[in-house]
Amino acid sequence: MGYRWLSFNFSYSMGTLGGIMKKGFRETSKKGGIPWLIQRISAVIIFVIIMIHFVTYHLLSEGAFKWDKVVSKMKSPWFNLMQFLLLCTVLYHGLNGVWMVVEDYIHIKGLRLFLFSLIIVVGISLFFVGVLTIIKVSNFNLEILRAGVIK
Amino acid sequence: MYKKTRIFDLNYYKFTGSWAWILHRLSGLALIFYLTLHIWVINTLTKGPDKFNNVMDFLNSPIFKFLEVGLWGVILFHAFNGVRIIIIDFFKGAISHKKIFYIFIIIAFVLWVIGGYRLISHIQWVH
Amino acid sequence: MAKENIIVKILRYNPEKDKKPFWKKYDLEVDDDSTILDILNEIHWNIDGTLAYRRSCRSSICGSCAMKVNGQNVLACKTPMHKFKGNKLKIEPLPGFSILKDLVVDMDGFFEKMKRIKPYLILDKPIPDKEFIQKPDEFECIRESAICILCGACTSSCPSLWANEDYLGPAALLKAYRFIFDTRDDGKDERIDIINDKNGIWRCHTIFNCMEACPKDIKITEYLSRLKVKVLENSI
Repeated sequence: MGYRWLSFNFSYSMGTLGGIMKKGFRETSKKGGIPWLIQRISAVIIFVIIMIHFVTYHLLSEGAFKWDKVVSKMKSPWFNLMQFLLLCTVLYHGLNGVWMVVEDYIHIKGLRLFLFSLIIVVGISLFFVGVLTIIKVSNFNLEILRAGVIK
Repeated sequence: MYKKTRIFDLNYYKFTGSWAWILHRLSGLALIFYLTLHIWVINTLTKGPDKFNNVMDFLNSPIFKFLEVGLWGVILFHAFNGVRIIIIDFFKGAISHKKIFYIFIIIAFVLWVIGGYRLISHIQWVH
Repeated sequence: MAKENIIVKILRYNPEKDKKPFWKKYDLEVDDDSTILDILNEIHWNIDGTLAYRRSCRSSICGSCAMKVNGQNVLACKTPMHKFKGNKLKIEPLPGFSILKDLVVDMDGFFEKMKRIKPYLILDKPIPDKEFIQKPDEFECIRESAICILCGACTSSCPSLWANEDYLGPAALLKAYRFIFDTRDDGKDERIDIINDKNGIWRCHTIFNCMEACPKDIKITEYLSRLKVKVLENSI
């Protein structure tokens, strides 16, 4: 027994990545295998980031959330990159999950198309709102840095 | 011919795996609603300190803090059941999936109590 | 041998008379070690001859008598009535399939799906003179999946199938596993192409109802998980 599954899974992931490069993304994702895989990869990323998020915002911080406190947390570009990664993965994971439920239970073509476009519109608009928030808040931080009044 | 089961057979016995699946789906759908609200609330950061602090004062009330404790539980369930699914898919967890489920539920419960205590201790009872 | 009084509720449906299935109650006295099939036989032979159900071997190898008892799919001939607590039994036909009469369901779709994944050995190489040589551990890999008796208990217990009739279902996918992981078989790519579909292997959400329902205790979900990894490895 031992670590046989490790080698098994390593070969599997490398084979998969090679296959995506060879055959192209669109054809393979149509069949359902690629979304399934990305759903699991994004799940791992979200798990790690959400735990960091909870520890930094709730376990280690004291008192209520005030504007300057939250904004000063987003000083580091690495932290903002993490937020951006969380935004992308969470939107993909969540909306793909909803789409999976729709595919399971909705069989009327028109309704399915409507829900699909709704998911896409919600995804794109939430993405832009989130990205704009991250960019604007890091600009606030830059302004505070320039003014030299960091606390 | 008569087709009885159309969407879901409600009186089929629900085993551990069925409960895990049903709750995973429901918690996932709940979380996507929360995500929409969360992104919208955090967007008020860009509208200046006054507006954001107003919203946050509103959200720091006990009701929302208790809702947040519930949210933390939903997140933990979805996260740890997700880990269970990954173990089933890639690490041969299907044989002992029930044991894995109960172990993760216990871990999630402990984390829920710890995190929930911290969240409640942040409540500002008097503004 | 002690006798015991039990109350059996059976979902009856006669397509010539009834618009909808209805519950019918039977009070009867049976031996306390009877199986579900013994009870049905008792009703059919001594109480109500119009009850229709499938049965044949009464030793859990023909796979005819799968039905839903107290909310679970079981093989009637293999399940003692004391598996269920209390002396009340609710017997229904398999969920997810169309009812033909009483406990007899339409299995055509089930076997059509089974045929779709080509459940036979596909060979490129010439047939050897004596036998195909297979190592014990190579056979051990497919041994359990090869004992499936095609009763349909797993496929009919699957919530993914309840919501979507086109889903291949655990039984057909298990059959695909049995041939894809068979070292003697050469039709791997063909079969993987068939099951690698939104209504194929990717509709499996690891709900484990199939594993609970299987009267042969095959670890179906485990094999489907291996199959998913194999499909990703091979077909994309």
